[in-house]
Amino acid sequence: MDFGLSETQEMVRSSAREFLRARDSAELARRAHSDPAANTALWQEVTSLGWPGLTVDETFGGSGLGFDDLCVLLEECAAALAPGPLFEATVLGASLISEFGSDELKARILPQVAEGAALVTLAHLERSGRWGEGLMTTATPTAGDAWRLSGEKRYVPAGSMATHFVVSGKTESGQTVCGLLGADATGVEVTQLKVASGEPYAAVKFTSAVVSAGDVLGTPDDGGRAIQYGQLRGAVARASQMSAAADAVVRRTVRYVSERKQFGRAIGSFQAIQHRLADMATMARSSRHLARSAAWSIASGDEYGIQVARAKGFASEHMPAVCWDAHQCHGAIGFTWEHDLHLFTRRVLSWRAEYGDSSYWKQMAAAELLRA
Amino acid sequence: MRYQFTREEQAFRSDLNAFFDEELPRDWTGPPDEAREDHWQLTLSIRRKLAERGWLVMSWPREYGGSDASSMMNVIFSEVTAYRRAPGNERFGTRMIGPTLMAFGTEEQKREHLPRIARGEIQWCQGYSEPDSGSDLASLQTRARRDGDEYIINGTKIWNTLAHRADMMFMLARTDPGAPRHRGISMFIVDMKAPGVTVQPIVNMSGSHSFNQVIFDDVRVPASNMIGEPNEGWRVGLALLNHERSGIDYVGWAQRTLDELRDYVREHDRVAAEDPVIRTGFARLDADIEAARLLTYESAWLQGQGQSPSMEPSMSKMSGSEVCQAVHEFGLEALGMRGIEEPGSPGAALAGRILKLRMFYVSGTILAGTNEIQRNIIAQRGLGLPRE
Repeated sequence: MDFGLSETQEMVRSSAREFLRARDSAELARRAHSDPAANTALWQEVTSLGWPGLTVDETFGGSGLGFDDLCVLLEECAAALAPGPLFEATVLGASLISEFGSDELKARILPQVAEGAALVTLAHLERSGRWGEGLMTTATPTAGDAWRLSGEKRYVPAGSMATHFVVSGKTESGQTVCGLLGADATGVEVTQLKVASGEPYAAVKFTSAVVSAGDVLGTPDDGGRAIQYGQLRGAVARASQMSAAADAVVRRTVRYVSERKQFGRAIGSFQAIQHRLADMATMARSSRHLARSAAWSIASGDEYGIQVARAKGFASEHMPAVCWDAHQCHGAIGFTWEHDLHLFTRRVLSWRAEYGDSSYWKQMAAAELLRA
Repeated sequence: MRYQFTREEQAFRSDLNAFFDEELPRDWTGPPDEAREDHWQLTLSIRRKLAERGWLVMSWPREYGGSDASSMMNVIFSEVTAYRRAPGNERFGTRMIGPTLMAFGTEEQKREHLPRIARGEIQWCQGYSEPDSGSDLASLQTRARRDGDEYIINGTKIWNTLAHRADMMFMLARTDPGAPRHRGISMFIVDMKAPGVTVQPIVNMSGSHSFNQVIFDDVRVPASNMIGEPNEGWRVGLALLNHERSGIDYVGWAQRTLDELRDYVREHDRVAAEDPVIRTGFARLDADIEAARLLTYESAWLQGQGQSPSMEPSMSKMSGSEVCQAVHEFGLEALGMRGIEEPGSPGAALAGRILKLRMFYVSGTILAGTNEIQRNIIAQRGLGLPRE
C-alpha cells in the first residue's frame, strides 16, 4: 500500500492550489450565483494550464495522465471551490470518445478537447433525474446510418458551456444509441437551469437532431455500455470532489472553533464540539480513501464495480452531514451568505445525487453482494 | 390523560384555517418572500385582521386586550399559522416584549406600548446577540451610560431579525461595567428611528435577507425607556427567553413540507412512492413529527397548569428544529437531482422550495439557544446532572 501521492500528483495538486488561491476562487464561486459568467472566468487560464487535456492521450495533444491523477486535481479544485465543470471539461467526454469513438472521431475531437476548444458533456438523464430508468429520448435510424434523436434531457453538467453533447436515446427495439452532437447542431435547444451550487447545468431539448454514423459511440447495441462507462467515472469523480469538500470544511471548522471564544474559552475546548469534529474528520477521511481507491482501480485497469458503489454511496450518504455539522459548529456566522461555508454545502448537495445517489449505489452493491 | 383537543380548541383550529382560506391568495404556498413588498403588505394586513378577530394576542390578560386564552390555544394558533406558512404572526411584540412589559413594565410603558402591539400596529425586533456574544450572552458589551434623564447607547447588535422593518427594539445593554457580568445589564426600549441607529442587512445562506446588524452610535434613549430596575436586565431578559422556547413553529413547518412531499410523490413520482427506502422515510418522519408535536403540547399544558417546566420546552425546541431539518433533508434525498434546483430554475419541482427551506432551517438548531445549550438545559436543569 502507498497512501502518499506520486510526484506528478503532488505537482498537479500544488500548482492547482496556488493557481486557485491567487484567483480567489471562493469569491468566483459566490458570484456565480448571480452571474453565471463567473463559471467561465478562469477558463482561458485553466486551458493554458493543460487541465482539459490532462487524461487525453499524448498523441492527441494531452498529458496522458491517469484517472487517479485527475481525481487529485478534482479534489484540489473542490477544496478551493473552483468554479466551472472541471470533470466534464476534462475527463468525461474525452474518456468516452477515447474508449468508444472511431479513430476518425478521436482524431477529430480529442485534440480540441486537449486544447480547451471543445467541451464534451453527458446528456443522459431526463426529467426524473434518476439513473437506471428507461429512456424516453428516442433514436430513429435515418439515411447514411445516422440517427435522429428526439427528447428532453435534464441536469446536463456544464450544459450551457458545452460544445458537444454525448446523447443517449432508445431505439424502437429497445437498444441504447449513444452519440456525439454539436451544441450548435439543428434541433438542439439549451436552457440554463439554476442549481444549488451555482454551477452551469442545463436542460437540453433535442428535436430530430442528427447524430451521423461517424459520431456514434460504440454500436447501437452497446450504447448503454458507453453510458455506464461515463457514469462510473462520473460517480468516482463526484465522490472525490465530495470527500475533498468535506475535508476542507473540517479544516475550516477546526480553525473556527479554535478561535471563537465564548464563556471565556475556545468553543473547540467543549467536548460536544470535539466529538462532533472527530466524527466529521473520520467520515471525510474514510470518504477520501474510498474515492481514491476506486480511482486507482479505474486507472490501473482493475475491476472496479463495487468500489465505485462504495465510494459514491458512502460520499452521498455521509458528506452532507459533515457540512451540516460544520454549520452547527459555526453558529450564526456560518449561516450567512458572505461566509464561505454554504458554498461547500451547496456543492456537496448538488453532487449528492449525481451519477447515482446513495440509495442507487446501495442497490447496485447489494445486487453484487447478494448475487445468488 | 387525554390526547385529544377540547371542542373549543378544535373549533378554534377550524376557524383559523377558514380565516386563512379566506385571506391568503389562492395557491399560496408560502413562506412569504421577504424581498417582495406586496408580501410585506399582506403580512401587515393579515396581522391587523388577526388583531381585529381577537386572535393576535388571545393569550394576553383581558385588561390588556387579550382573552386570557390558554397556552394550548396559543400553541394551536402558532401551529396552524406555521402549517399554512401564513404571514402575519408577530412574535417579538405579542409573545416577547408584551408579556415582559406586563410583568416588569411601568404603567406608562404598558399604556404606551401594549395597545399598539395588541392591534398589530407595531413591528418590534430584538437586540441581544453581539458579534462576540452569542451563546455567552452575559458577556455582552453594548454600553448604556447615564446622562441626565437619558442613557447614551454605544455598541453593535447582530442577527436582528426584521430590524430593517422594525419600529421599536427591546435590547440588553451594560449599565454597570464594574459589576459581575450578569448583574450589570439593563433592558431598554429603543425607537429604531432614533439618531445614531444604523441597520445593516445580512443576507443568509438561503439567499434571503431576514436579519441584520444594528449599530448604536451615541443613541440617546429616555431613562424611562428602561424596563425593570437598573442592572436587573438579565432577570427580565431571561424570563422572556424561557417563555419563548418552543418547537411548535418547526412542527408546523415540518408537517407542511412532509405533506407537500407526500402529495408530490403520489401525483408525480410513482417510482419514489413505491421505493421502500422512501416509504420508510415518510413513516419515520411522520412519527418523529408527532413526537415533537406532543412534546410541545406537553410544555404548553404544563405552563397552563401554572408550572415552570425545567426541560420540556428545551425538548420541544430541540426536537422540533431537528425534525424540521430532517424532513427537508429527506425531501432533497427523495427528489434527487430535482432537489438541487433553486427557486427560479425553469420547471423546478415544488418551485425549488425544499432546497431553499433546507438552507434556511440550518438556523433552527442555532437561534433561540443552540441545541447544544438546549441539551445542557435538559441534562442539568431537567435531569439534575452536574455542570461540566
